[in-house]
Amino acid sequence: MEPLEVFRVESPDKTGAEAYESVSRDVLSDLELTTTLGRLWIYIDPAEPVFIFCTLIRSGLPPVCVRDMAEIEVGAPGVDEVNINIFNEEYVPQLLSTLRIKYGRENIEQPDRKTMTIATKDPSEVAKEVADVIIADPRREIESRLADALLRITPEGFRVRHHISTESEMLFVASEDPIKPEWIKKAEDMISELKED
Amino acid sequence: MLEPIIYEGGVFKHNLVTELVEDLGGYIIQTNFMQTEVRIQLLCPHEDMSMLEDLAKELRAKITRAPLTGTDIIVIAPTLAYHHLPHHACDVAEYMRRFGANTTLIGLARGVGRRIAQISAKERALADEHDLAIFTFGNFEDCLTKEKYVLYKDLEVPSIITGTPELIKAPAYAKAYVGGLGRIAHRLKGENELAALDKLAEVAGECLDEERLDIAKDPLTIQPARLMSELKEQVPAINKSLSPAPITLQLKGARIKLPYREYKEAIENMTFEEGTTLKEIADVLPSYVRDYLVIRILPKSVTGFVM
Repeated sequence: MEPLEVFRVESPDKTGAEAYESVSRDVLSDLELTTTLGRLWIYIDPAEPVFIFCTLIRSGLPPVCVRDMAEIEVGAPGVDEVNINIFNEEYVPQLLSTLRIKYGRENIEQPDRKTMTIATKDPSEVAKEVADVIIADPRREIESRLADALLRITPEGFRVRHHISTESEMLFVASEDPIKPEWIKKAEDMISELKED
Repeated sequence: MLEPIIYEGGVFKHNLVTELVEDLGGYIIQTNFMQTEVRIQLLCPHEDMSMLEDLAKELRAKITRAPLTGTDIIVIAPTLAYHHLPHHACDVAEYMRRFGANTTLIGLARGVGRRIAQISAKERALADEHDLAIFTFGNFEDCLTKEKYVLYKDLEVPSIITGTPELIKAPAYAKAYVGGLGRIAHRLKGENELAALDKLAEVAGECLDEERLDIAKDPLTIQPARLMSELKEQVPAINKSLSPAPITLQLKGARIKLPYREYKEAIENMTFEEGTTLKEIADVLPSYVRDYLVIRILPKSVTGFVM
């Protein structure tokens, strides 16, 4: 799926739809979401009043585990610790805080820039377990940016909201009145049509 | 008749302009220095304009007619929520300032939406304290024509509405409508956007000219500009105010940026050379902007004379 290969903003009010397309483009580029979204379809009917936002999210980067940024080895015989030798420093702050939460602040040390140690009574088990600990998830960051974009694009008065979000798609319906089932049905139809394209 | 003018030139010898305007019987409203440049808003007698033009030519300065000079405009957006920044209402307010107006920008507490949009009594009273209200609305014709009028229908001051669609006639209760200025999520810099702003300034000028004509039918006892210069002389505390415009001129009076409780009496007892005091010719009221005070000059039909 190419970035924003489908970008549709529809409304019974043609001028309004054009203006909303400009608003959406501005917001998506401000939040650097243009390469993250694959297909996007917005429908607004002020007379109903309803705002529907459907998007397919492009598959992005996988979560970052400890093994992706460091080599893990059990400490010397007789020393109860696991050594973590960092080769990619990009996520060091997140690594440190994750390890502190998981193993306790008093058990984590960083003797030098590229080394961390975990004091533990069972080094071999911890060495195995720590390798798969997730340090950062770029997808979650994208999700929070997407939620921010939705808040910015949605008409401010439409405060009754319904959303379904999965890893690959997002469906959002907003209105100032209680959400009607037919609006959700329309949104679901829109997302299935987007998938077919 | 006094002509509203903006003078833009170098700081060098700009005092000659100030002196000339005062000698001619005009008034300096505001002077802003920007490094080596100066921008003066002034009122100059119409018949003596040629003298000011000659001096400006000699000093290599530019003078332009600024129809919004000496007016106080409120720009009202349904919301000023931070996640909708930048608001186009900010650019609207700034653009009106370039034409000489003093602008106040507010976002309504509950102005968003269609059915749920509302304006509070306090917000309405604040808007009524100004000469003109500009409401910056959104993109959809249906909202503009059928729902949003509740925000401005009970205002006493004329309201100009802006929005995206080009409407043939202004929505009900509005004085005028300017299209092409709906919800825009970037700073206004496109050709169409600037043209819409120019159009808005023109429409605002026309509305205010109509108001001026209305006032001329029953003239004010004292001209607001004269009141301003007397205030500067007789109430020295004004000159210590840090605000860029300690006295905001309005069509029917002025807003003074001094605490109401402390200065009400001093201002009411100001005496003019004709022998009258201010309280005989104007009402001094508390403003809805902070703790400032507002002066409403009474018309000739009430006082029986014009100074």
